[in-house]
Amino acid sequence: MTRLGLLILLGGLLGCRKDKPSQEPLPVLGTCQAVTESGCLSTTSVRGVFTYTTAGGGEIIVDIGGQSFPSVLMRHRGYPGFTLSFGGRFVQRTPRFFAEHLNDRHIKNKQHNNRTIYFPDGAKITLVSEGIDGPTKSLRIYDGTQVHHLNLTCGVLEFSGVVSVDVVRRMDEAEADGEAGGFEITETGLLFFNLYTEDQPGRIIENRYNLGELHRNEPKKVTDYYDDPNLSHT
Amino acid sequence: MGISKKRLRWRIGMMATLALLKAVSSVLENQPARARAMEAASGCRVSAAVGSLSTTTVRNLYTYASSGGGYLVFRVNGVISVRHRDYVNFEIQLWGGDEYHTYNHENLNGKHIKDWLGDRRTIVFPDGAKVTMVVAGTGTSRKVVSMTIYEGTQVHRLNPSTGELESSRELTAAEVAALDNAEADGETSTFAITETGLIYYNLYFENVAGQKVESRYDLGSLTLGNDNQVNDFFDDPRIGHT
Repeated sequence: MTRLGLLILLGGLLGCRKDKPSQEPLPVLGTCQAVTESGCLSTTSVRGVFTYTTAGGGEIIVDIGGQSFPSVLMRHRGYPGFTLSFGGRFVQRTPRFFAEHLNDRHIKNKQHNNRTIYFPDGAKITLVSEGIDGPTKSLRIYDGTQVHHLNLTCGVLEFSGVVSVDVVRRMDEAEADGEAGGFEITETGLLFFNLYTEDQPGRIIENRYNLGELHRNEPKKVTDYYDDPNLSHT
Repeated sequence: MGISKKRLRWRIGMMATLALLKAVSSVLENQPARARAMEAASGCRVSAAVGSLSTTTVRNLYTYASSGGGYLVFRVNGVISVRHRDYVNFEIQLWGGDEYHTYNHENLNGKHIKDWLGDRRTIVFPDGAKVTMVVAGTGTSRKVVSMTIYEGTQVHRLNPSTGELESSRELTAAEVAALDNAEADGETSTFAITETGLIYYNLYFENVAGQKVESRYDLGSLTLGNDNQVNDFFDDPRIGHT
């Protein structure tokens, strides 16, 4: 009886380990059909302002509601004086994100069509653009089993929900990360870096290098490690 | 005996109404604290908003939507943006400061129009909702100390320097008006959406509560269909480029 119980338990445990792809359909995107916020995403009382908090304290503020400059701000509860911002301009109300600032310092412009930032807890945000300087068509956040997708051409939250690990993986795999980087909080401050490029889904070229750094003992100092060849002031 | 029963019923009714009002008022008063507790418990969800104020899942970001489509987006230590649902390509931005943020520079669609003309600044939305900001201190210690939104039965008060939502309440319209009247508006402006665009203009000064001095003049305008053109009607003598 005890053996039988152990066999049933083992069978059950093995049965739970299913890494096989499911037939669960992927969300249909590109429809400009709005959905209700869920998980750690907030819409606000103002059109075009969205926020997200990652499981480990990362914060994202997307503001595409203003006239002047669209912005995606990334912050972290563990380092209150830190803001990584992607800014740009609107062309016929579609944002074009290209300028990357660490706090107030312009470090670089994005070098590939798509741009991805990993948070220290593994959450990631990917902006998909048509060309390096072209319109940014979508913004997607992956955090564990949460996926949130903003269609930036119409400013609509098209998907916001908790899905299976398999669906997260398939959605992630289908979208190239482009220029992918991240940041980490260190003992002395915060380091902003690039990790790899993926211009076509699955074709990852690792290339880690530092972009900028903040210093705990000098809160206003921003070290720029990257010389953007197209910008004389970076 | 019949009259006393009626009176008793009336008294019980009144007591129940008062108790209900008190309970509702208490719930509204404690809303931010309750929301903070919710946030702490759940990790990321927060909805401390009373009425049209939104706090969000991230720190130090507040938004407000007035009943007639006015938008206010306030990022602590960032920018205060005034927008409107019915004129997408319009934005007044208040920004800047020295050691601390004072938000005393004013941009209309990215164009620096002017700086504040005093320590108090009020923007009135076309539907009558208004936001009043107050700056105090001198030199490098100068900083914004309060931001209050008044609309109908709602009043929300923030400390813009710390990001703390000090109060967020629904009161009677008379109570909100009394609070509003007790605070001097300072330099007060508004904007109007017209058939051809949008006009941003000054209304009055109220440096002492209750003593309004009317002073209507245009600050800037936008033209429909030509969103990159900003007409600057105000020559701020302190700033060369405005």
